[in-house]
Amino acid sequence: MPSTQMTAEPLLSLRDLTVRFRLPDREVVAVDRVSLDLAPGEVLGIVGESGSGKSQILFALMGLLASNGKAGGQALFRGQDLLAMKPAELDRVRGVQMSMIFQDPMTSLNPYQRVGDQLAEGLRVHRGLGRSEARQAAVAMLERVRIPDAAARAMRYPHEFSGGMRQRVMIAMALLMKPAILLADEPTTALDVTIQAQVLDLMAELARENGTAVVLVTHDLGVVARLCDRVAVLYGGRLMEESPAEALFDAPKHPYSAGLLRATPRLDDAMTARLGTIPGQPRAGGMSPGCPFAPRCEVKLPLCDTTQPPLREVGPARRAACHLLEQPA
Amino acid sequence: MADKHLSTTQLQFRRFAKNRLAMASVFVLLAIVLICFLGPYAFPFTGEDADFDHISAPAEFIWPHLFGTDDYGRDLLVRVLEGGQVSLAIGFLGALSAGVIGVLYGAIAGYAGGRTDGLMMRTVEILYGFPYVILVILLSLLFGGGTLALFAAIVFTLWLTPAVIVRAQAQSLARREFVEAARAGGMTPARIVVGHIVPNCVSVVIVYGSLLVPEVILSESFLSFLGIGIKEPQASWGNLIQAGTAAMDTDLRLLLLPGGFLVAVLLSLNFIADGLRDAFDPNDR
Amino acid sequence: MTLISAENLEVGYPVPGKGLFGRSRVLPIVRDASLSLDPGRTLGIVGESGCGKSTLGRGLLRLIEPTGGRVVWQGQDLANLSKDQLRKTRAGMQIIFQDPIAALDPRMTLLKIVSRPLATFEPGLSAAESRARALEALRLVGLPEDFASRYPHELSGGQAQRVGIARAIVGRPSLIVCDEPVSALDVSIQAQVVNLLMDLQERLGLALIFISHNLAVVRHISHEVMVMCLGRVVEHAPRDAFYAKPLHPYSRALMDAVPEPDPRREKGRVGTALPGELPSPLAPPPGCVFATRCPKVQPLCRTDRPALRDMGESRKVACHYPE
Repeated sequence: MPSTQMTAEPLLSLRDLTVRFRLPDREVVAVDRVSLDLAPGEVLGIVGESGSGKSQILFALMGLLASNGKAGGQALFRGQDLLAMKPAELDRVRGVQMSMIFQDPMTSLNPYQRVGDQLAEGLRVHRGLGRSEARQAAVAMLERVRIPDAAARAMRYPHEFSGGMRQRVMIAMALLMKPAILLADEPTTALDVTIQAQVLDLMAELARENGTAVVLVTHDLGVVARLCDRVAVLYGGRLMEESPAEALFDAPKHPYSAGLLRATPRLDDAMTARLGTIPGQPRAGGMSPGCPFAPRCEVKLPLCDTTQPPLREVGPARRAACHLLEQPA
Repeated sequence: MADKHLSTTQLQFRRFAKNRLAMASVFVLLAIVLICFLGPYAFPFTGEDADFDHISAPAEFIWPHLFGTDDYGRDLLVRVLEGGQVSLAIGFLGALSAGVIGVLYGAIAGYAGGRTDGLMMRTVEILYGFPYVILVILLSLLFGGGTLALFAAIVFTLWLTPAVIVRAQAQSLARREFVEAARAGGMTPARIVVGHIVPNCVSVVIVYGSLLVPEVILSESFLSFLGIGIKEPQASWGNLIQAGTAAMDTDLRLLLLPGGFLVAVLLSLNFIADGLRDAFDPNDR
Repeated sequence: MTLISAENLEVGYPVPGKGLFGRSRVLPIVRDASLSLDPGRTLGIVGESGCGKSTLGRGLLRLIEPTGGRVVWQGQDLANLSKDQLRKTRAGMQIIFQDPIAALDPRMTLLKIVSRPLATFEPGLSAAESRARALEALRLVGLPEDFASRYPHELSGGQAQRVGIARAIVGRPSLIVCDEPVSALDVSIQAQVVNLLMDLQERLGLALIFISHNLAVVRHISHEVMVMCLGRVVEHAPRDAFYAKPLHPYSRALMDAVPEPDPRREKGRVGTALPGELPSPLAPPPGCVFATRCPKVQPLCRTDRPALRDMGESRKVACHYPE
């Protein structure tokens, strides 16, 4: 039987990644010792609700944490620790080898600069292309992301684009340098459902074409099912379960994953009188010594309140952190 | 879960209390107010009593004339304190009045929107266009001169800016869902303005109001300085500073004492306004 | 008896007129919308942004004044009511909002927020009675009594939405318009709130108009479904029939676009998204509103707008070539 470890060197390796925020009266742990690997060309989904810390993982990798935030642990990209890099070194990685797209494209595009210029800027700075070369490459990229009338549109400003088109422009900017990794923070949450489908298709196609690995942060299990090869489920800053996508949806191991699936309304299931729910509210971690999900777990043991369950292998390429899943020695 | 449930206001004042400079300024201001209103009782004379034995006495910090007297033998310190009573009273009451009028006007205009708002704001803009001093002089004469007339004139010109500020705030509030909910709850527009709009404008008003007080005091000082405002023998910081400026070459003391008090009050109010603005900052929940 | 019905409703927004005192025009968003709802039933209204569903909801309640057509509430034409009479009618028809925390006055305690409507609708109540009713409403939405003295900034999104619901039911309404009430909530909380609304519907006999872009949630809670596109109703059908087989190409496109938590099915659907975008609702095309994107478009569709036709079995579609 093949081992569950990666046979190839992972492209990105998070080891005990931790993110803390300093507030006036206390400290909040947003991400609590998360360890994950990303293989080249793989699409990894990170799923969670508010307070799960999922977006903070991406911000930590890109060096975009708020001023009162601090990242600990390691984030090894091609062997180098992103968290230990000086700003100048990180700048050579950001936007070139690893880029990010955000939920609200309006705030990540410069409203005072033409779209084509924003795209071309990256090429001129990082690849040293001349002005007209860069402009041509930018227009070609806009065509690639299916912006109609790309040459003319490149001369327009962001506010002249619809939400879906702005998101495509963001994808174009992110993939222009052919990065090894694309980080996506809820990229389609603000879009209409038919536009979301288009953008997801586009991301899948481009990622496959360029061999780009994708880390997709979302709360939508349907989006995960569409794009992701593997899924990591986060709650309260801790990794609860990690699994290949199909295995997770077929048979979730962790009570939280199971609860999320039950709570998601579907178009194709048999109608039940009421949706499955998880009682209580999602909250950030660091509150109690035990499992962060314990306060809401309907099948918890007394042990769950006092001791954090360690992440254990629970199947082929599957890990979960739950006392109920402990194998007898 | 919190044991005690703090309203937004209570949270804001807690934040304010942590600001050392602002709190220090509050104490300084209170101290000045107390000294101005209670101080004169410590002395055996008023600011209008002339002491012919000590005309133009310098500041030697000897009781009872601690800071000396002016040309008429009137004790300088007591005159400054009594002047402070007038200036501070006009300042705070004037700011309060201008604030109340401005808030109501702005809240109604902002909530009503449309034609009403257009009409109300055009009126404000026209009034803004009048030259300030001329307007004050005219109103002063209209109300028959004297302290009350000056007060009315100042308030009449100063309510305009709070109105504009509150109107902007009211406009953005009027679009918020809880106002829509109030309409769905059958509340009349008057009730909504008073019950929902105005209370949520309070933080804006308080910050602005604390800047309005220095403006009123300065207005009064300026007008009295011009000779239009408070008239002799009644003291105000404005006319004391005017007299002090006239005597600047020979006796700086007459300018520095009232000037010093005025500067202290203005600085305190500015620090307090800064502290209030930080405390109310909506970005920092 | 029908609780509420709308006939050829047109609702829009005022646009500032030109010049200093120019008369403002009205830009219609919703056009020619008709519906009717019986007590205790739920109508789901779905569509993407700009389709006018929220505007329609507010137009029904006359929170925005309709510019055409009429709304009949419990047999009465709402346009015939004076402002005072309209205010009293509001006790029967309430609304809950998408942003639960913005819907609560930040300076009031939860008790005050929930009991406020009673001061308008039932002024004769004593303070004690009013308090009791408010606490009862909070209990019905699952919030214990000690929540009454809290402030909105202490609540999570789900809790705030419950307060909004409590405020809506305290006056014992017959209808609640729910404007995207769960879109801003986490999935596990969405489920709680949807279940709560369904429970309350059963207990209190409420009719609901549930506005959402989420087809799956609408399926759960609705008895009938209405699909809107660029301000017009394009399909109206009983729930089961609709989800089994939508007749309008836009309804079909919406359903196909919803990603389901089923990886095998979803991976097979990659590349099938409907291309193009809808034109702006401010400048709708002539002919059918969906003509620019419809995979089945014919020349007739671009020039003639199809009317809403009865297809039998309580189904209506506005399409020249329905399924």
